[in-house]
Amino acid sequence: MSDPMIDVRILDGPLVPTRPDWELPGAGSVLSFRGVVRPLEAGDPIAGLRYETYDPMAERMLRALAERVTEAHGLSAVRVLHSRGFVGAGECSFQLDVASPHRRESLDAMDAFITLMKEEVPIWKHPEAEAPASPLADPFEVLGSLIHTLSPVGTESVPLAEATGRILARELRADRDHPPADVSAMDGFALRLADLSTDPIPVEHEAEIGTAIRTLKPGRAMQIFTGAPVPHGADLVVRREDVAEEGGTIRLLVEPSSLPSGLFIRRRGENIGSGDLVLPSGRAISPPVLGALATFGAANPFVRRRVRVAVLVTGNEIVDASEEPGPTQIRDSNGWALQGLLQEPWIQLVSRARVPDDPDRTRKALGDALEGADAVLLTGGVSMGDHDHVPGAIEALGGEIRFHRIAIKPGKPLLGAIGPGGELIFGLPGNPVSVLATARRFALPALARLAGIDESSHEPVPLVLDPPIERGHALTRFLPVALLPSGRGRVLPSRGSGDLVAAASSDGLVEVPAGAFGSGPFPFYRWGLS
Amino acid sequence: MRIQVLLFGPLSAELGQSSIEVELTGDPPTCGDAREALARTHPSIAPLLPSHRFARNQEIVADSEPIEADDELALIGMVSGG
Repeated sequence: MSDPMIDVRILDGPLVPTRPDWELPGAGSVLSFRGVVRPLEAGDPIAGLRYETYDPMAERMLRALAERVTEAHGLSAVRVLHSRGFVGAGECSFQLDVASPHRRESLDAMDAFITLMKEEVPIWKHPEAEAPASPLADPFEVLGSLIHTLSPVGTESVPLAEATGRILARELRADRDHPPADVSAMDGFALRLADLSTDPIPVEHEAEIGTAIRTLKPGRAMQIFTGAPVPHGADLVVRREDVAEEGGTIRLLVEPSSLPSGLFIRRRGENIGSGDLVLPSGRAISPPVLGALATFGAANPFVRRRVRVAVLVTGNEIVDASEEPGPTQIRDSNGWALQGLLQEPWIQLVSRARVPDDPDRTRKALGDALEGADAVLLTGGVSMGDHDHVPGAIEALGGEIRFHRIAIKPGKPLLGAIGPGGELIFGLPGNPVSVLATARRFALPALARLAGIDESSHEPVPLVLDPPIERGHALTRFLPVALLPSGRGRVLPSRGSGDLVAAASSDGLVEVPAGAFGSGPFPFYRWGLS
Repeated sequence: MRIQVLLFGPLSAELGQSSIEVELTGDPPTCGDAREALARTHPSIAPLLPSHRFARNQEIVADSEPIEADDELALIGMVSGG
């Protein structure tokens, strides 16, 4: 028999019951036990239990216990999940799964494990009369309410040569029919229906592009090329390959009755009529949009002015990428990663600065950054540590913190605020992967709102994961993903929120909702917005 | 030597704090010394102490275990997981 599988974890909050993904051909018995919080404690109603754990000893002892019981009872596999923190009445706080060749081993092992756990493992439960006010806000609710207080920046007119990637501030309507006249869809000859039985048909003139529309005489054919205006009187165009050309005449090589009126003619206004809507406002000007603007004479379209963004990197340990860091220093990766993410044609990076962990200097630097900026993105300084001065600096300057700490991983300490002059402020957590995840998922959509970009034009695409995610988590997760040639995504193994190496191989992030697992599809956020 | 002792469960509930500091004189002091000092300075938890064991650097140890200045010391007992 192969080595038994042992999986032990302590997770924050209530457990989402899951099945272990075991493939154990020799296991005749698979047992699952779920511990559920009772609504009464010593006869009194409670809201739930708060589990206190001594970390990491508790998880290590659970593992040692799992190994002991596996050895003693000859198990094939064990999985232990235990909650930490508040678990409401009726919710699951403990899950134990065991597999063994026969039922006796797993039944005994399960009882032995639970008995020993309650004697040895440093976990304590405290009955709570009231559910705690959720310390973590719903991430998308708070983002949505922050975004809805923002209004787009002003507009300006730019020449087409500078319009690519900018955001259309006014809808585009057709200033004329398109095509502007009936035109030929083929190279060939314009004919009247009445003349199809004439044989041969003399050819007179050529329908020229860009000049006045000619008239086709009865009993004659007129040579015509793709895009040229169809002459008055003509009913159809016959392709050049369907006729024989002989000394100024043509003979049809196809049955005349198979040629309907209107054949190979694109009608005036067939694509769009004068005054009709071509594009709504709020679209980014892509190459085809640039072509459409030119088609309808918008040589200097109205676009949103660029959103002015300032970046402020906090931390004593940060040196420039070009400097040699001391033993406890690190190079400024966050500032550069953010600068890369902000490299959108509708964003103007107005300043980028670093500031040490000092309350006065943080406040001064934030005040400077807010000057002339529509938005400021800070990194670091938003955790609960003694050196986290960003929330204090925002409040000292008269800003309003709209949310702080949300239910995501990585990036839990994320802070969103409105500055004293209505500026958008994000305090991004300092870990490199947290910065990228929160900047992409939270800051960029908020900046897009300032830029007047239509929300529906940058929604995430659904991505199926291969292999599937094995288990759920109490928080919404952002995982770095590489796109596969199959069109699916592979989650890159990561050692946590400091692991920029895994993130560097990724094409973007998938957002896995709290409790969800499997292959999805899950929303995929490419690193760039467009 | 002054050392922090981490408290959990009923002990931290009784004292309303998650750690307490004790002054130890032995050379080196042992966990047993810490136990005696705690019972003396915090009589309200003295009845609970016999059911607790010390964890030194996250390992359960006997009272004879010596303590060093930068050890993490915790009192473990009356656990209630599951």
